[in-house]
Amino acid sequence: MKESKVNHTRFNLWVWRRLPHCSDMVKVITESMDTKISWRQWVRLKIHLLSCDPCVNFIKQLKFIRTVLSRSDVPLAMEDPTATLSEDARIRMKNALAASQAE
Amino acid sequence: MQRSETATGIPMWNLDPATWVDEHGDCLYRFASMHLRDASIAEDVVQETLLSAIQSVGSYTGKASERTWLIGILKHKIIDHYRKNSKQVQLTDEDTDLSGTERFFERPDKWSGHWSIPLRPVDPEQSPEAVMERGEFWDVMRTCLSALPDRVANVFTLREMDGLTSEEICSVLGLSSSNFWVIMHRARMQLRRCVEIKWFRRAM
Repeated sequence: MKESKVNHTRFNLWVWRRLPHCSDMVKVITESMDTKISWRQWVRLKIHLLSCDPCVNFIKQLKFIRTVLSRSDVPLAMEDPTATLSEDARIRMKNALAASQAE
Repeated sequence: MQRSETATGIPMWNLDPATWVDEHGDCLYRFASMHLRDASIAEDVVQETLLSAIQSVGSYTGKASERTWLIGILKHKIIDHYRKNSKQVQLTDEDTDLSGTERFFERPDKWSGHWSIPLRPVDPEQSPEAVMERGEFWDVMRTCLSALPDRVANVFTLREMDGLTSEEICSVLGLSSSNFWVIMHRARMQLRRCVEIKWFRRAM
């Protein structure tokens, strides 16, 4: 959506209003990350992306986040290192384990 | 981890449950609290995990490390927890509120509906591999995830971190597919923006 200096005629505004808006396309993009979208939507999206860098970047960011979060070692990197088991919980668990093993 | 005998004299292949709490307790607890966001629930689920691990010591093949094996069991327990509690946990209006996403497309000119110029997404301009080792990046990720409402974060992490399909998540959490969609959209719009402000733009 480059800012153009062209004086918008009624005609090209008419065309523009019928082209998909970014606010609709982000919803299609989100949907496409969880399910298969219809080919109609897919074509609309591809055409939109040809002229819309911000939406292309939006997809890049979502894919970036998905890639980093889906790595198997992420849960360990993500943890809050300050969270630890309380002493009570530790003792309770040890007792429960011992009781269960003694059965 | 070593070959050992328990008090009952049953040989435990390579595993010594008596050391689990000290060796892996904190790690399992952090993993659980990241998902469940509640200290006492996380403790309960970790305990359940350890008890159920004792029952299935026989199925430990030694292929994965002891810790990875325990985390595998913990993941199942977390999903069980969600399934059991899905009926009690109601979605709040905040969870499905998309009004916060409108501002990205509000413009004073006639291009309303397209990205507001100052809020346009920027190119990440880096590879995901480049941030894996960066502790600051994970601090950002943690902060941004914890800013999501609990329910929204649950759905989002099950999808993006645990890799469940949308159908699986809907069945575990008892969500309609339209609610699932709204929650994911909300989560992505908010998280993406947060990571953008705190990381993508800063790294440029």
